[in-house]
Amino acid sequence: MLRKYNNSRSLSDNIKLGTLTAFTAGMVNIGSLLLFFSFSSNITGHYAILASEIVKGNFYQIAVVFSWIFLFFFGSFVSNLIVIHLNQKNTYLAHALPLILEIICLIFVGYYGQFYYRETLMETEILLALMLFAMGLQNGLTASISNFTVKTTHLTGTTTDLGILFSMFTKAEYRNNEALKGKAKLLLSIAASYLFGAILSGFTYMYLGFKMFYAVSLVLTVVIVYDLYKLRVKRFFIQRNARRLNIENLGSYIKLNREKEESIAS
Amino acid sequence: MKKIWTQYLLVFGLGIALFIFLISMAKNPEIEIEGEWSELTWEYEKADKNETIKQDFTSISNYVKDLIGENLVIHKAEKWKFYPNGKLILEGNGYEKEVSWHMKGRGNILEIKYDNQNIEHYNLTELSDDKLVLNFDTDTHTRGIARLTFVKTNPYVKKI
Repeated sequence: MLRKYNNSRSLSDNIKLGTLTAFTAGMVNIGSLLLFFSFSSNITGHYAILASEIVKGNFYQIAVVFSWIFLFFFGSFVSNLIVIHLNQKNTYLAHALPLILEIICLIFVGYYGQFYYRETLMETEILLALMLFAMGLQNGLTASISNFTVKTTHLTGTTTDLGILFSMFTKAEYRNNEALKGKAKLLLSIAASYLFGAILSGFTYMYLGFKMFYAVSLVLTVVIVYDLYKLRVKRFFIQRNARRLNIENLGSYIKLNREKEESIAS
Repeated sequence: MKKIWTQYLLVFGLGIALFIFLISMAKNPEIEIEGEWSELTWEYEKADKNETIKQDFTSISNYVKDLIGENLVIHKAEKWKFYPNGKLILEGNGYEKEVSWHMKGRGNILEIKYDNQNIEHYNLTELSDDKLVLNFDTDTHTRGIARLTFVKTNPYVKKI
């Protein structure tokens, strides 16, 4: 899910990453709406609110909404900054680090909300700001490593693309195009997963409250650990094959395997 | 390389400066709402038009209040006293109730909690030095949006 980049990613990689992160985004977005009465990933809506508050001349609300939009932007900025600067050194770490930061933000929101939250407006706005930053990190990461194919925190683009794809499927030449079918599968799984996360968040909100952010963090941890596990398993098999084939230069053998894998995926 | 980082820092710095400027210009709604507010009108988007013709404005307001407010904790209140510590005293004719209040969202939602954690939410549509307007969705048998308008009668409330 995380260790591959841009064109070396398969459809399966994108679907796995898309469904899991869309599920968490759906949960966080509805969780923030129920707990704080504001969305944490619906940036289009925040732009509309910003415009309406500018018209009304409400400086306080303008400042708050402006800072939320800025933090979503900054989250995406930080995420891609980490990816492009660390990618050459350690791809897995470069892709996992934004998710680790996101988990830290969400666990902080959950922990603070559970034990210290006194429901003041300032606390509400800071916790929302952290969630928007976390969603920016997530969207920036998934979009960056998937060559802008996977975006999971809002569904405007996804729904637009699905509309376009389904209209294309009225023609047989597009209907039989594997790449387009794959894209439709990916987008549908993202939309369904987001919706499922949102519904689950709505049902569990009464029982879990702020603890729902621990559940979200757990799902994100699965995304990180899954690849770590796959990396270890893969390394084990490569080393075993190398021993069987009596290959002395293990480094070049690993490199050869990686190139082979990338060429198959592309 | 250094130049580009300077440019980025400058842009982000400008963003932060804009935020600080806006916040310093603004009044925190949580502080602005503190004080004593008196109900001026209750309006309802689907109020019977015939009633408007027949009766004067005050009785229309009372009619709307009786119609849609019967299940709300605020129904009997005429004066709302907001205290800084999240306490709200609702006062009416021979009626007084202490509830708690909080603001949510971007300061656009007023949450009122009472008794055994019953919660009511109101949209804070307008809040100025002397005027407060609350909107809320009414329940199923009188679907629509109701609007409560208040005037500030005392900016300071005695600490409880």
